[in-house]
Amino acid sequence: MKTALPIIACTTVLKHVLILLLLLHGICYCQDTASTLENQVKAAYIYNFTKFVYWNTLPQISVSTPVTIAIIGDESIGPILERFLKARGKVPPLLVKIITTNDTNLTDCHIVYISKFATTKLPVLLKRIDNNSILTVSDISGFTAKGGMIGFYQDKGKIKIEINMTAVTNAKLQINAKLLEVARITWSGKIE
Amino acid sequence: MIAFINKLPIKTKIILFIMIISIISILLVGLVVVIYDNYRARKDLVNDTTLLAQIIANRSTAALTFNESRMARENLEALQVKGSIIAGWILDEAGNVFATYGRYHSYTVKHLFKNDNAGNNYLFVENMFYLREPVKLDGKVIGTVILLRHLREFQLQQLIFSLIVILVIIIAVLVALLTSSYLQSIISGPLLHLTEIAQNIVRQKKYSLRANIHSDDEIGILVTAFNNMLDMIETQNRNLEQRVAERTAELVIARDRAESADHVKSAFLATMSHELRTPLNSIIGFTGLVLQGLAGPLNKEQQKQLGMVQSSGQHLLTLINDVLDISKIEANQVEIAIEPFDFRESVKKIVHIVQPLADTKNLQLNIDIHDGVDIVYGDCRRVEQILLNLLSNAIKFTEKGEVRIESERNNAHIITRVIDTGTGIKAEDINTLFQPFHQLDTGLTRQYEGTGLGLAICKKLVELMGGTITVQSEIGKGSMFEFIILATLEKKT
Repeated sequence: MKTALPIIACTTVLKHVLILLLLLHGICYCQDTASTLENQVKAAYIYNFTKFVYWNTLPQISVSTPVTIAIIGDESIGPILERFLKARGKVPPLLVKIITTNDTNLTDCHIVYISKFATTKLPVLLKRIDNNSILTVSDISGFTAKGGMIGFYQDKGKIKIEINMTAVTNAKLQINAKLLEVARITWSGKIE
Repeated sequence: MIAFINKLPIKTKIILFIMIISIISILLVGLVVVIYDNYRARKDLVNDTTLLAQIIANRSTAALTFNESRMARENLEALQVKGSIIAGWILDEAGNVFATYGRYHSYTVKHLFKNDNAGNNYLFVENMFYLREPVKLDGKVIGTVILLRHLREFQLQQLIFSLIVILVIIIAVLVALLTSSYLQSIISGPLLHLTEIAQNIVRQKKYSLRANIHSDDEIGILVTAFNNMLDMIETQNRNLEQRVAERTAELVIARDRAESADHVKSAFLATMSHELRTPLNSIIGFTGLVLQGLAGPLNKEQQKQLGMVQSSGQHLLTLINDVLDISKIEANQVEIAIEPFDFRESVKKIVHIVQPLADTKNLQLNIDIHDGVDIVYGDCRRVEQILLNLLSNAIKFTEKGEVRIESERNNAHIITRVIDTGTGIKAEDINTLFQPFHQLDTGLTRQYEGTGLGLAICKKLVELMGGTITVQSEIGKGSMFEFIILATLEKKT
């Protein structure tokens, strides 16, 4: 038994080292995956808005009419969204457009997502969209106060939704009550 | 079973059959109703719960999509309106618990439907009912609603329904019993009536009774046939009675005729015997006078011939007396006079009479009269006549040896035996021995003269005195005649 003791001590030290290494790796991985996970959730939310929002001026989303989403400012969202849709199956078909601030043709889009990386271009974009029936979504803080429709915000590590009913009404969009129930509602701006 | 049923009265049989059929039908209907109701109630339970789950599922799509479990929980709390639903869960796409309602452990919920690939959306586990409903968004399953419902209420309802069915069954059976008890009389009533009539006829022998006809069915036909049969019996009886009456009348006439003829015959015989005896007595009397020499002396030859006349006359007298006796007996004209007399003396007297006959044949004549045979009540003359007849017969048919007379008392009876060592009687003749006008062995008639009436007279007389006479005999060894007469010790009034 006496001869066996050093071996046990040795393995204990080794175990600690290994755990430490794993933890360090985990932190790095987590930081990396945290933003990915966040983007995944955002992508899923963006897609799922199509199911709770009704466009009155555009043809209703169906198998034959694809949903068109414009992504501005974060190129990583597009592939995530596509992957997400692929995993969910084909229905309904989705057309994702990755566009720049210079792109003027936003009118045939259903949703425009403006990443926080494009904060500076926000007033220009909002102005361009104007009162077209386009659902504007963004993770820019205070997005709804600035005239946006749906904004993401963080609460206890969870991504939550804020809806500016004034903007939605002005855009002649209708939002399912169920979505309103799960969202924080604000009224900023003037109803036209 | 069949043997047992056969023993039952028809009334019970009919009720029994109706009841068996009714009970089977009622039970079958009851069973079907209960089973169907249970099936329907379960279906209702499933539908009802499914509806609730569907509402919750539909309300929870956004909550699941946008990860808002508070909203999902609020939706579940709407279940409060349904008290029997004690718990509910919303699971997310991966099967993890997203929202909970009620204080029921959610431990097993995740695994509850896992092994069930058959697509069954509900489970009955003991007193619990689990139901799952997928939460779908655009045809895509994004979660599951699971509701847990307690079955107490459901089971209570089932129990109440079963009790009602049982109550209805009991009432139906009772109604069937009452109805069958009433209806059976339609069949059994006429039969019982017929049975009663038949029994009355047997008991009272009144063939004029008739059964009433209540119906036109087979029983009606039976009753008609029964009545027709009675008509026939009655007619036959009437004919039979008439015939019997006719025959009886004929027989009465014939009997009367025969009786009167008999009386006439007896009267004729009695008169004739009397009329015959009168001249005969003159013959014997006057012959005696001549023999005594009162009409002058007689020579030897005259004496001998007159003696033969006297002897023949005596014999003829005996014959006439016997004929008179037997005809009197047969005409029922003999009367037995009961008076006290000394039996012993009578025997001695008769022995004294027949002693000369025994002496001429060198026969011993012995008397053996036991003590106690003395004064008895009876007809002295008839007893002496019997004794004389038997003793003279014994002496007549005995060539050597002895003739013996014994007499003893046995209570109220005097038993007297006359025993000889004579020729004896053949067995086949014993039966006819006591019949009138019958002398044994026609071949011997010449040897032993007699009327053949003696024993017949003896038998009649003994019987008139309430006694019997019998004979035992063996050819070549002798005979024994025994007669028993009733000899009362006291005078009868």
